[in-house]
Amino acid sequence: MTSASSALDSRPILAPDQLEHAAAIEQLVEGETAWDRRLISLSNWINPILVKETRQALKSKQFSMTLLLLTIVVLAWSMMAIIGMIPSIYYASNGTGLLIGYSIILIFPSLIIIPQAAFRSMASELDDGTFETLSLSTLTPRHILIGKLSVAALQLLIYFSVLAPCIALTYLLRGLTLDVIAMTLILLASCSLAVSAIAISVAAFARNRVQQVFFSIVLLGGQVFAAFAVGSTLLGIVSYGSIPSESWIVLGVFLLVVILYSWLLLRSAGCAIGVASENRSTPIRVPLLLIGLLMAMLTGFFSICYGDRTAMQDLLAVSVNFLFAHWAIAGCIMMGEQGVIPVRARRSLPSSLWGRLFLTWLNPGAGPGYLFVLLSFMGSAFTLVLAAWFLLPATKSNITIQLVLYVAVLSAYLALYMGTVRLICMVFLRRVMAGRLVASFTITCVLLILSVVATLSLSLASNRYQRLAFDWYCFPNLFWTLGELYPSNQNRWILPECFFAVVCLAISSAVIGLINVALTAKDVVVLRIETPERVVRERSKIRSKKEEEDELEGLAAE
Amino acid sequence: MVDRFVHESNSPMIEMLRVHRFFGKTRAVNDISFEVYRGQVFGFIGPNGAGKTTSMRILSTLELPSYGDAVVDGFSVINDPDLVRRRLGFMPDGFSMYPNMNCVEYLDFFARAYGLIGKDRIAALRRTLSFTGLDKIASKPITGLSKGMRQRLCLGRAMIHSPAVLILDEPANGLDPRARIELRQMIQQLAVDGTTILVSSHILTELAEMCDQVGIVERGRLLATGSVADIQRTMQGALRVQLTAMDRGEQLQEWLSQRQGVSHIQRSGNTMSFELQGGNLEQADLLKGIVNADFSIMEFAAHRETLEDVFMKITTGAVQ
Repeated sequence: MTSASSALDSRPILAPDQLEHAAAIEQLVEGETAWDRRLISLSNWINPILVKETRQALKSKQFSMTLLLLTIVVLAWSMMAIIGMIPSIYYASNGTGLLIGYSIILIFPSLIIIPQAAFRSMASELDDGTFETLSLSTLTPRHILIGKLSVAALQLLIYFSVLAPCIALTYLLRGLTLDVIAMTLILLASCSLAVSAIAISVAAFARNRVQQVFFSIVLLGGQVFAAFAVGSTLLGIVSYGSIPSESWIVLGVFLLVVILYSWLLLRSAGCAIGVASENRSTPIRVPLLLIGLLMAMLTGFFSICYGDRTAMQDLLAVSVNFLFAHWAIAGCIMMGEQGVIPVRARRSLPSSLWGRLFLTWLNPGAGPGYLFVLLSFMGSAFTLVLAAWFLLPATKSNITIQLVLYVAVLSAYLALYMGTVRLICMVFLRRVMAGRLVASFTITCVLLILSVVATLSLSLASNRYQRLAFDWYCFPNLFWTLGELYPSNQNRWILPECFFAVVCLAISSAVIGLINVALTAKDVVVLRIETPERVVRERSKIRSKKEEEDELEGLAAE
Repeated sequence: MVDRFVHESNSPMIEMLRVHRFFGKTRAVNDISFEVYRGQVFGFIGPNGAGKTTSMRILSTLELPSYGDAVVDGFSVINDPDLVRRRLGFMPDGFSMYPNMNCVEYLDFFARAYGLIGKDRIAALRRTLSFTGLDKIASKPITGLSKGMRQRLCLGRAMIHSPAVLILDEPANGLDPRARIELRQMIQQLAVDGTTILVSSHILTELAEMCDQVGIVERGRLLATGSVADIQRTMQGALRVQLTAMDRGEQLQEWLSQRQGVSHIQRSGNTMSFELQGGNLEQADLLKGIVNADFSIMEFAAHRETLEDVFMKITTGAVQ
């Protein structure tokens, strides 16, 4: 007997089921073929959540059922439509009707099933407690959220691939250009991913079962609305048959807005599920600022490029209102932030003179947040309006001082409302730790509603319940005042009631603003503390180990 | 072996520094401090609602303390939770698994989640599967696993990245005796390999067998801490001795009553029981004295209080 055969004989004899398990391990860790090994090497680079969720999703009944149903419905529609087209299929343009059908079929998995699955996936992680075990690993909240979104994208890709031959058929049946098909698919895919990003973020914000149920119902309503909106848009695009060049610009802007706000939402959700002692504010403020600036530039650019002389002021007023809404929503949530900066967050505070001068407003806390929002809005809105006012020739622009004053009024409202909400939070939410951001948002809404109700009542009472008339005491009512002072109502500014309303607004916002600025002083003087040497050493060790592993993995892949 | 992110020093691996955790008016953890050194197994004992799980969750960076700090290998759970997590494996009390996955896929996912790639990941998977005995059921779906196997899988998940510190919350809960013994052996083996383990359990006899130190906690307070023997010694006032003589029971009772440190003598024929102040030395001394006094002894047994007795003596059973 040779030594090789004796070695073989001495191996433990495994039962058939044990052999199967051993094979499973071998296949998973080493692969069967060179192709498998390459894929395993590639999977090392991919987000682990994507690998896990793909394994789960592809085995899930929900995915199999949706895929099966989609295939059946698509086949049925194709056959029915083609039978209906005979005999004109040989000479007439029939692609449009067929593509409309496919678009409607695709809307259901894209805008309903995939986002709901993404919501359930994230919600069940939090609900079942698996998120805690996940958060103890080296995966960051960003990894987890992006992983979930990637799975949604992968499922979308699979569903689209099922329809790929059918969509090719629509092109062959004439009546459609390639850009119509491309725009249909891009719009559908981007909306699906945006709704999925919203679903994942909303699930991350839900802290208990009640919130989950509430959010899932709201989400479903939003999805149905999105499905109708996207469906009617697609119907319009496909029915029109060709795409004007401006439509691509509109689509580009729409995609940009969707991507930016999805990014902001996912970042916020990442902060919500991240470590409590982490600086969770600055990572949100940076994209907030970038989006605000980008929106100011974009709206300004489009107003100037596409607006004519008569519409210029109105276009810029709409842009300024959009910026106001962006900053006001962010600001009223930010006012709920706690004033205490954790030690961990203090390690990353700016320490140089320039850093402290320009970056202190990004520090966590309601105080720096107040100034950050106010300065960002005023900076972007005034720059936009003043640049258009001074730089555009009179033939191109009809901008007057009214628009500049309008921006000043918006700034005053921002200072007044945010400041009031911050003061209320400081007094009444002093000991509240959880749910402060929701509370501050709710306080803002309540204040707005109260101001509307109170001013309308006052106005009715002072006019013997006969009519509603704007007067100076209606200045807390943001909506009414802004309506009165809208730049297109040029003669309203000189009326005494409007003038006094603006004066009252200026005085009250200045008082509230000064109090808030004074209270912010203690947040601004917080100094950076040095990171312990051992922590710095440890982090650099982890970084160098990761770089080394990446390098080795790269070599292995080659 | 995968690199353990541990610094070489003699400082404790786990330190609880005056940790408090309040939930409204409830003081779930109320000023708990203790230390655990490398390779030690620390048992956390206490009735339900005593604050064991909250303490463990604070150490695992899943909760923030209201006051105080907890340190793992020199890193604060508040200020450097990311570095703590690299050193830590946590097995929670109640756990749920992902559906539509088998054992090896589950462990593979967590190996990836801990940043293990390439050969390290393969080695970690093989090591964990073999250590937990899951290699025989690697391709079995998780949903079909028994409670014991799920516990093993959960332990495997917690140790896949070779953590320096393992925190196990009621790992033996609901297991049959065999599975419990196997789990205990696994924990002991991990401790021998240098892993610091913090384990909580209701099964006190089991903790007494595997723990180097225990801490008894009730209503968020640490009532006693130290080795099992130390606690027993501290809590035990006197040894209870039972003795059976061949004859002359009455004389022996009289002789004993004159001895220093002997009290509460009860006699029934030639059998008597009494309390003896002191430890092993006094016990041996007494036995020597009896034999020298020419009494014939058939049976001599000194009864030490078990961990269960000590636990019952220390705790009141009150909940918050």
